[in-house]
Amino acid sequence: MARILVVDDEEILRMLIRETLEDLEFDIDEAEDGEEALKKMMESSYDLMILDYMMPNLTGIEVIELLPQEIKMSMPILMLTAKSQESDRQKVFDLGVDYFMSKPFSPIKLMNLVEDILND
Amino acid sequence: MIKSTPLLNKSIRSQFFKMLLFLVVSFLIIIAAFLVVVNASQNALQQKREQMYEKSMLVDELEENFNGIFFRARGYYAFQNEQELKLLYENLEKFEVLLQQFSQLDLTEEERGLYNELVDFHYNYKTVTLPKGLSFAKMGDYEALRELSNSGANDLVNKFIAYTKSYKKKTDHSLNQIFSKTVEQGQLFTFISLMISGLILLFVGVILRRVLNNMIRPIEQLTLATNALASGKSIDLGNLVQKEDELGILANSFLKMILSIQDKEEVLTTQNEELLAQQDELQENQLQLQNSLNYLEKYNQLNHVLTFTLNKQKLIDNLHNYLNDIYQYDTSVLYWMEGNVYATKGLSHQSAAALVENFGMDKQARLKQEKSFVITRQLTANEKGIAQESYYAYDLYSSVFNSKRELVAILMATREGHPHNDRDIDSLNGLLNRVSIAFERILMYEEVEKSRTLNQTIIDNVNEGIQLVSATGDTVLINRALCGIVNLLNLTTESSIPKKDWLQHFQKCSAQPDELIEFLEASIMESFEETRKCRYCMTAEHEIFVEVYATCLFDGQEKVGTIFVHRDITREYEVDQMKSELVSTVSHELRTPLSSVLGFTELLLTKNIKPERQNKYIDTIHREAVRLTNLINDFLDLQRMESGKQQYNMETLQLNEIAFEIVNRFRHEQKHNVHLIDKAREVYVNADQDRLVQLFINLIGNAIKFSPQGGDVEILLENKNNSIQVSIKDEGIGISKQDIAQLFQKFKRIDNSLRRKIGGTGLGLSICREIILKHEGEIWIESEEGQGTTVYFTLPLANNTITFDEEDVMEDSNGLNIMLVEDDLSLALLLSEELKSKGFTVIHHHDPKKAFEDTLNTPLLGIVIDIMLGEEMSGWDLVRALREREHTKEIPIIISSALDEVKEMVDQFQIKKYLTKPYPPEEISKLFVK
Repeated sequence: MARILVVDDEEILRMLIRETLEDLEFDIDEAEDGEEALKKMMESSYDLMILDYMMPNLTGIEVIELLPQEIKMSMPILMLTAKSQESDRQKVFDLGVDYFMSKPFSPIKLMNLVEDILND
Repeated sequence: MIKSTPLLNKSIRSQFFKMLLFLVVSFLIIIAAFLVVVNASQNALQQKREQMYEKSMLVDELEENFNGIFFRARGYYAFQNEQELKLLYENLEKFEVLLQQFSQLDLTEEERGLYNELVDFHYNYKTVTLPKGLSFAKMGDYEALRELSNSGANDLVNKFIAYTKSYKKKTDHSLNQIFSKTVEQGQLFTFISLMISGLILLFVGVILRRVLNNMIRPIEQLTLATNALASGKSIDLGNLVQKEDELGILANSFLKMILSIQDKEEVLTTQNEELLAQQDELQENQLQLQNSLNYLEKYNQLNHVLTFTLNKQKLIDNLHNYLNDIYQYDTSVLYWMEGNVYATKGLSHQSAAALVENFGMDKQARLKQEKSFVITRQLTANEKGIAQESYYAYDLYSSVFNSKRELVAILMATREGHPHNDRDIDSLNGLLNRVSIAFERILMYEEVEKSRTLNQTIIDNVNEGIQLVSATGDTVLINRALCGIVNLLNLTTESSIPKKDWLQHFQKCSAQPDELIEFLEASIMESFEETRKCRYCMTAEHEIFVEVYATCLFDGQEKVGTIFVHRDITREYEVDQMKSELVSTVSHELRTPLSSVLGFTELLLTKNIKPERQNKYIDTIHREAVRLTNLINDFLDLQRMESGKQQYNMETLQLNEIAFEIVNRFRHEQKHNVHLIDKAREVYVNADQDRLVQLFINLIGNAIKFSPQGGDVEILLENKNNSIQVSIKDEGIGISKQDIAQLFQKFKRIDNSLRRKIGGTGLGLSICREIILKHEGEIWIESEEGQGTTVYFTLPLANNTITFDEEDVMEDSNGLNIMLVEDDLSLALLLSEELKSKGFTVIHHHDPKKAFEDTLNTPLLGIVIDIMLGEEMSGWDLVRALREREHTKEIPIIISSALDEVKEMVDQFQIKKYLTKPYPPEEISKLFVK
């Protein structure tokens, strides 16, 4: 069973993602901010990280920057962000983010994307 | 050189020579005669002496020989020595010779006799005696010899010896005589020569005296004559002229000279007179020239002023002084209308101004026609002064017209007693016209200067920094604003700043020097039509963001410089930053609820979900939609307020009523105890009700939001000075000191996880601040992290004449708290007003539970409770709870109810008073006042 870490400061969004992916029977873990996400990353390994861009204290970008290189290399990252401009997208890709989805997102599309990522 | 003339035969020199010759000749003759005489007498004496000496010598020799003869004879007789005999004969012969010589001498008688005797003796002796003696000697007959020698011979010998002796005596005597005679003669001669010398001296003296007489006197005469000539007296040379010697000639020459001098003097005098006349003429010419020169100099000075001065008053003063120098006016006014400047002479400024002001229209008209005219009038008594006869004054009016035939200047000049001549007036008018040109030039200059100053002022006061750079890149002009923006104060603004210097300055102070310098260099070097711009950041003191525009300056086709306009866009930059932050925030805030709404809707639409899950989804969707709406409303509200488009309907409102109403809305809050303490006696304010409600809801909402653990939210109304102060106090998470300052800044959000979880737009406090500012109040926040936050705001009272003594209020209300537990708003207000008017503080609660909790914290004078309060807890439940607790067991309770009194309950709970609605409000206050 694939393990997914959902990082978002909004509880409702975490719930939405959980509800969306529920049918696919993943092991879904949650973190409500960047610090918690990093902690969890160190403690155990995940197959995918769904990361919010704009969070207090540590932004999504900062989380990626602080992530150990081997984890970054081995694990795909899907970034969810309210920023949808091309420049933001480019910045995120430059950092080594593999997948990008802008808010508001379609749960169906998210589900499909997650399925694709984990099947690859 | 002067040839001797016949006159000179009688000259002083020849006279002198003749006299000298005579003297010398006679002197020589006398001397010669004298010498001859002396010599002759001397010679005679000498001869005589020599003869005597010779005779004496001869006598001596005779005696010697005579003695020798006898001596030898006796010697031979004695010794028969032949040698002796021979010597005897020799003596005899010599004796004969000596006798011979003696005889030739001049002999006296006696001597003659002696000579004869001696000759006889000699003969006798030789012929007789000696042969006898010799024969006797040969025979040896000495007897005969002795006899012979005694016979007669001895007599002769003695006689001769006696003679020689006497002769010697005689000779010595004669010699002495001769000597003394010689001496006498010498004395005589000396005397004679002295006499002669004296004579000669006398003679010379006489001659010298004559000569001197002949010479000195005429010289004296000449000297006197010369002195007389020198002192200009008449000259008398007397007989000097007739004299034939040099002095005569001299006198004649002198006379001639005097005559010729007199002639020449006459000529000279004539010439001198002519010269004097010429000199006078020259002096006059010189004076004229000097005067002309003075005029010229003054004219030059005037010209200089005309050409160079840029000062109207100076020009007019100079012109006026010049005119007075040249034309000597007694009184004059020069008035230049164009610049309203004037100069005066002999008049006070006031009277001159009056004169100018009252300058008649008729005179103006005449000036227009004639340009200048003179009015002749009799002097007034005032002007005349002490003069007796009547004089005339000549008033000259002259004018200057500009090219548009407008009168620009008037000269009024009066001369007393001296008329103005036409030539003067002509040259004066010419001069005035010239001055008018200079004056127009000055006015033009002033115009230009004014506009230049204006331009400079504009440039200096423009907010944008202006920098004019020459084609070579040197800064020619910068304005004050630029100095401020780019901190160029250390570079001088007076002269041009070399390219190197100012570029270096920019390089030093800029955050991205390379980009900026490249832009500046390119703008200086290149020619371009459009305006270029570039942004840079100065980091000298504060961070200043500047936008610089470059525009080329062209003269025809050639680029002559570049204008840089530096605009301080720090403010815009910050606003931009804030706006993009806001956009980012808003977009995030909007997208999050939108994500929920869209996400859950899509799930509902696409998935088959159980009904209870569906409800949960729909509930979430609703909540998120409400959140979205609030966000949009807040944002729009703030936008409207900031842009000044918000309409405020100001009316007089009762603030506590609004507070009551709002607090009432929050009565269903589960974790929070929202209650109101009303200490304000004056509650009327001028305000917009809707905005006040928004304000309260925002602030109370914040208090609830930021105290997630629940707790008290206390709203306190108080009067402070002439305003009402409201404080909303919570027991929430609090705000750090450094964040408090930022709270009211628009678009600022306190960024920490606790707050982020709570969410919000960060616009609430900005909206509150806008509302309060519009109501002329103040708003501030006091807070401590983890302890809670208190937001204060004040609103001015509608009737602002009432002021409160704070201490009074404190005293009155301290410990006079009455709790009112009433859910009917109007009744609660009514009672509250009544109690407050009696000096009590009213703590109002809707919820009996919260009221019960609050009784622990606040000392109370009493509690007023309504029975019909809510479903959960009734009034009686509250009363019971209070009575059951130790702390509130004794507290006075008053029941205010629409229900009828239940006697047993009143007794059971020791109810102080049961008031049945409706009752007059004073009833309740009476109970506490007692």
